[in-house]
Amino acid sequence: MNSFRLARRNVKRDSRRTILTILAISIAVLAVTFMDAYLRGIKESVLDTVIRLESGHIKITSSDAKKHSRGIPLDANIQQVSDVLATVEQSPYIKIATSRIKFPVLMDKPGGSLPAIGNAVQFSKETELLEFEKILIAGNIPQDTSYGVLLGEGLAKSIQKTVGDGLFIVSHDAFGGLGPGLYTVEGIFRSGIGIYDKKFFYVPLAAGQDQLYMPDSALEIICLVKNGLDDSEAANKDVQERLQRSGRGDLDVVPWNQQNTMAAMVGNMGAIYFIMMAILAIIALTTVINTVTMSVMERVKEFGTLRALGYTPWQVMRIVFAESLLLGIVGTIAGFTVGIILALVLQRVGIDLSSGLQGTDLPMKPIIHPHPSILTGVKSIIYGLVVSVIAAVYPARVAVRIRPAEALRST
Amino acid sequence: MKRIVILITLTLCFLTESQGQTAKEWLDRIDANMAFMTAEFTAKMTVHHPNGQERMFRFVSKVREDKFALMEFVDPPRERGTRYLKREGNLWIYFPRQDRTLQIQGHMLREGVQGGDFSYEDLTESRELEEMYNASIESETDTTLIIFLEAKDMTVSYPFQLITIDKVSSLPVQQLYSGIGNTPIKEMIVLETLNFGKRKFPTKMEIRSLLVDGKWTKLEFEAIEFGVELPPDIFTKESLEKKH
Repeated sequence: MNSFRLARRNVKRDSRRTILTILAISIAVLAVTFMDAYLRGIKESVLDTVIRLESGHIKITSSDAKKHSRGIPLDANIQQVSDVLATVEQSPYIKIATSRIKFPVLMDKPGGSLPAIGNAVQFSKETELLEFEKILIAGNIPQDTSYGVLLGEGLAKSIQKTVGDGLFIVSHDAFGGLGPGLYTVEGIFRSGIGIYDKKFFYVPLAAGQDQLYMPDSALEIICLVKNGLDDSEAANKDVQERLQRSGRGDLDVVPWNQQNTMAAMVGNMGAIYFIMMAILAIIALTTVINTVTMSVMERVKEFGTLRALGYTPWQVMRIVFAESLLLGIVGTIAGFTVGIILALVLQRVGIDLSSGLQGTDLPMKPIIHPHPSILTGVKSIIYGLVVSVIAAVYPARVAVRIRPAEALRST
Repeated sequence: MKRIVILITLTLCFLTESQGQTAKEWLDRIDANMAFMTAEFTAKMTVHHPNGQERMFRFVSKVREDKFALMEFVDPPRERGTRYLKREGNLWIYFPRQDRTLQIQGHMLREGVQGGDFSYEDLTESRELEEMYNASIESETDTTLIIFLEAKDMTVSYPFQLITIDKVSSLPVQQLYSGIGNTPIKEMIVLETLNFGKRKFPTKMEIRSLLVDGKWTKLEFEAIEFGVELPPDIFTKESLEKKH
């Protein structure tokens, strides 16, 4: 008799056990399907946020900057930055290239001082990167030619400033001297990222250059590539060659995945994903092994009869594997269907983590949109089937070891 | 034998005491040479950065008894009108473009003025060496003397100093500033001294960072006048923030 026909008959015998096994496989596959989409959503959110706020697809810095292991090296800056920008913008890969200067300051607050991080940016070029329109909660975005400042909501509260107030900032300039700056608070933002809202403020690049004594200089150039991550390596190479040709070999061009913080973050996410998948596999395996073994042990006489009728150990083994695979196919289809529907629904609605993320410095958007892909489906199906086949190894060995004479003698 | 031991012990005690007094005397001589009631001077400060860039500053300073000073930058144009007021150990900076005043305190006092190697604390410190350090003679030649200074209180900017003194001028010609653990931080070399009546005064010096390669600051006094009449209200915040 065909192994699958026998297997189908056997799974119908004890519907409760069959449902339990299918449920275990379904839950594991559902979890894998959803977690894959969810972690993909988180990874994309983190990548998008870090690329927009910190790394770009490509970042250009002075090669002297890497000599400084700590702090923000204002003296290791990119000089004649407008010429560099013009060269970079000629690359057909580049969508946006913009200069930034990050600088630490101490701000006066009632009862003491507060460390904060200033960012001098070209507001008009940062629309797609820093998304000020989306995060502005009061006032306006400063003009590029103004001495306006955009404060993080938490920072504004700490220093007790609101829109229209004057703000005197003193930081170190590029030569280590004191660089004073007098600004007007023009707007307040809430990004949902703890450190940005509590510590960050933005000023126009020209005002920052003046304050920090960095005429036509910047600390870094952040670039977005037209085709995103896919082209970032090629864009990196092209920009590097263009800068070399224009005599700016003193600059480092680094793609997003070679910037330390980013690589570490993505690496950690891969490890987390692997651990979660392994835990789910263990849970599913133990349940399926348990139910299939029980099924085998309850049918000792039946397997003994089959052996007495001339079934080889291999044929008995095939029946057990077929049984497990059958349960696996049903469980995988059920689990994947529910998991993908859940992921697709939440992709549209989003999962709001804002209360959990409040106060944390994680660089990700507060609403996560799971992102299922074809790969999610392939992974989940393979996962479900492999788990059910592996789960059948032990019960199959048990079934093979049954001796026909002993089995027929047993009651 | 006993007599010999007593004799050696007494001799050593005498020598140690004698050396301590001599070192103190030399410090007194330096303090006497450098101390004045009032002075007005114009100076040029050149700060050389490790990246090869150089910034030149010119300032006019009015000083009374090392406790009060008002310093105003006249060059470069970006710094013109920036004033420093030192008043009894406190330091304020007035920024004319922003019309704001900032008091420099805490850890900022140990940072370099205009990014150079002279710290704000160097500017504000008004106590005499003898008051802050225990001195001992390290070595001596016919023309120079090296004095080792160890701070009485280790919270000072430079817990240890090694001063090379020119015996003829009674002025330091070289000064090595060290931090806790006697780690050298910077070195000052006097490049030129001039006579002002009976007084000898260093007019050109260079201070070099021993922690950052290629960083040094040169200070040249272009004009000095001792014993000038200074109005009593000159060392006030009103005077600091006065608009031209």
